[in-house]
Amino acid sequence: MEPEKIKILLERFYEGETSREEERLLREFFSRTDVPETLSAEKEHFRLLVQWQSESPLDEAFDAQIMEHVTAAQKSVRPFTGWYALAGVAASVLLVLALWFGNRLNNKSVLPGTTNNPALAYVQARTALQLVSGTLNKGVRPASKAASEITGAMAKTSEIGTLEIAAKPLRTLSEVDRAQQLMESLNSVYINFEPLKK
Amino acid sequence: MKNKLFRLAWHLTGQREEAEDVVQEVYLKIWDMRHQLAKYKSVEGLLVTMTRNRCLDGLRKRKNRTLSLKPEIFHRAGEADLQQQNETRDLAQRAREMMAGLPEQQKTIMHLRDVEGYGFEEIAEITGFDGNYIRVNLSRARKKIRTEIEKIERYGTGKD
Repeated sequence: MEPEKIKILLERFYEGETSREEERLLREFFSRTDVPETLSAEKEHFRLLVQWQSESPLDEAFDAQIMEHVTAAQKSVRPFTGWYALAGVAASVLLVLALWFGNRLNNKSVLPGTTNNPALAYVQARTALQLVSGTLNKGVRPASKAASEITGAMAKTSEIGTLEIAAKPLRTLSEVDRAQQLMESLNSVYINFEPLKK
Repeated sequence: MKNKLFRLAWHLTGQREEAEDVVQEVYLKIWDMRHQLAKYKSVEGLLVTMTRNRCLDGLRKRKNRTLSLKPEIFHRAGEADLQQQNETRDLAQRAREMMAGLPEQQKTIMHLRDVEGYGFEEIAEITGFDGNYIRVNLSRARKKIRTEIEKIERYGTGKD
C-alpha cells in the first residue's frame, strides 16, 4: 500500500474512525519489515496490539480449579442426603412387606375365590384394592413418623446414653404391626367372600 | 474465551492475580446462572460485561481502601533507570503500565476494539455507551498510547 494511503488511514485510526477491515490493513502493513522510520511509534503501537492479542496465560490448572469449585458448590447443595436415605429404607421395607402380603393373599384366594362373573369380579377387586390402599396409607404414615423419631432418638441417646428415650418412639412402630393385622383381616374377608357368592 | 476475559481483566485491574480471581468468579457466577442463559442474546457479551463490572467493583473497593496505584507507576517510570527498565522489561508489560494511566472507559473500549476486535455495536452493547462516546474515547486512548511510545523512544535514543 502507498505511504500516502497509510498516512490517511493512520490519521483516521487515531480519530477512532477506521473500520475493522481498515484496521486489518494497517496491522498487515505494520507487520512488514520495511516500515519507514518516521512511523516507528505507530509500528510499535501495532506490535503491542499483536502481542496483547496473543496473550493466553490461563492453562489447564485454571480449568481444574474452576471445576473443583463447581463440584464443591454442587455437593454443598445436598444437606438432606441422610434423611432421604432413611426414607428410602423405610419405603423399601414397606414395599417388601406389601409384596409379601399381596403374594400371600393372592395364593390363598386364587383357588377358592375364583368367579366367572366379570361384574362380581370387578366389585370384589375394587373393594379389595380400596382396602389395601387405605390400609397401606395408614401403615405408611406412622412408619415414616417412627423413622424420623428414631433418628431424633438416636441422636439423643448418643448424647445422654439412655436407651429409654429411644425405646419410647420405637413403640410407635407397633402401628406398622397394626397395619399388618389389618391386611391380614382383609385377607380373611376376601376368603370369606367365597361362601357368600355361592 | 477464558483468555479473552482474562486479558480484559488484566488490562483493567493491572494485576495478574486479581484478574485470575475475577475470571474465576465470573465463571462460577455463570455456572450458577446456567439455567437462565437462554434469556440472553449473547453469552459471550454477557461474560464480557460481567468481567468488566467485576473489575470495576474491585477498582472501586481498592480506591476506597488505599490511594490509586497509578501515580506510583508513573513516578517510577519517570526515574533515571527508566531506559534500562524498558530494555529489560517485556513490551506488553510496559504497555499495561501505560494503560494504567488511562480512565477505565478508555481502557475498556480500546481493549475490546484493538485487542479483541469487537465491532462498535458489540462494544455499545457490552458497555452501554453510545457510538459517539465510544469513538471519542477510543481516539483518546490510542493517541495516549502513541504519545507514551514516543516518550519511551525519545528516552531510548537519548534525544531528550
